[in-house]
Amino acid sequence: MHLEVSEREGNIARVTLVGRLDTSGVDRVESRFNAAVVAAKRDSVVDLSGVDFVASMGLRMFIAAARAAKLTAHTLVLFAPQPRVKEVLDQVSLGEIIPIVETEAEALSLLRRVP
Amino acid sequence: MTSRDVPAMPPPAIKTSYPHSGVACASLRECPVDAEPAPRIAFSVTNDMAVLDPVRLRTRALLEAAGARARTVYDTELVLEEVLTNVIRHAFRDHGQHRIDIELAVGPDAVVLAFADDGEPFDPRAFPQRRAPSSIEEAEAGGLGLVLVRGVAQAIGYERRNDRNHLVIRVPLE
Repeated sequence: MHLEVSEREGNIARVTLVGRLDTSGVDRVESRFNAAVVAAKRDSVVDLSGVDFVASMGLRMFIAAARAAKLTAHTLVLFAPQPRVKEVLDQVSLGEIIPIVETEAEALSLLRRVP
Repeated sequence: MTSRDVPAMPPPAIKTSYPHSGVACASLRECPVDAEPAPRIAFSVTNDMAVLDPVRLRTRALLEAAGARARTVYDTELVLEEVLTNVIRHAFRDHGQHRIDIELAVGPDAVVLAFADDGEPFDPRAFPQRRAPSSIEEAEAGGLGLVLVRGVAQAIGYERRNDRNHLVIRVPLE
């Protein structure tokens, strides 16, 4: 499991996840993911295109981070999930609580619309 | 039947019927996936999260050798991950070392996974269906794994026998 953080205009973090978000994958990236998404107190977009497996541990990581970000009025947006990963996100209706879009451009425009 | 329609089986049932085979059984030994020899493995692990990756790699090797497609591999790995993490986290109250037996068979139309442990009784079929949350505040942390397992399982069988949990999950081949 691999994680990279870069900056986007408007103090937005762009987080790239690559690999498997199962128990051992989440163990490897969760503290860095939270540092980028929660502790930095800013909006973030998360590139899922390199994630080929998500289990409940990965869903929990996203829900916990989105919830913590919301406490400081920040938003987390997921984008470009692979088709099978998208099915898993849909199965638990994750999209009802965390925005999930197809492209980075959509993710960024969603954040810029939020006042 | 869609993959989401896991057949409801009455909790007091001693035996479990697979809808497609019509065979009543609660473990692979009692319930041959097919009359022909199926590719299968059986092994035991301890209740330690460190076993997850080795179990997954062994399973993947079996599935790939049997010609399983990517979706079947995903669904089978999802069941392994969710069932094993649940058993390791919640089944044992004494924090001691326990054995979990795993059997996998690749049949003509399904992968059948069987798990046995001596932890607290837990019948996943009795667990209520989880409602989708509509806000982050409402989202629950627990119960997600079971929702995912129900989503990929064609049938779930459970039996408490000789103070052990016996769980059988049937994942249809793509």
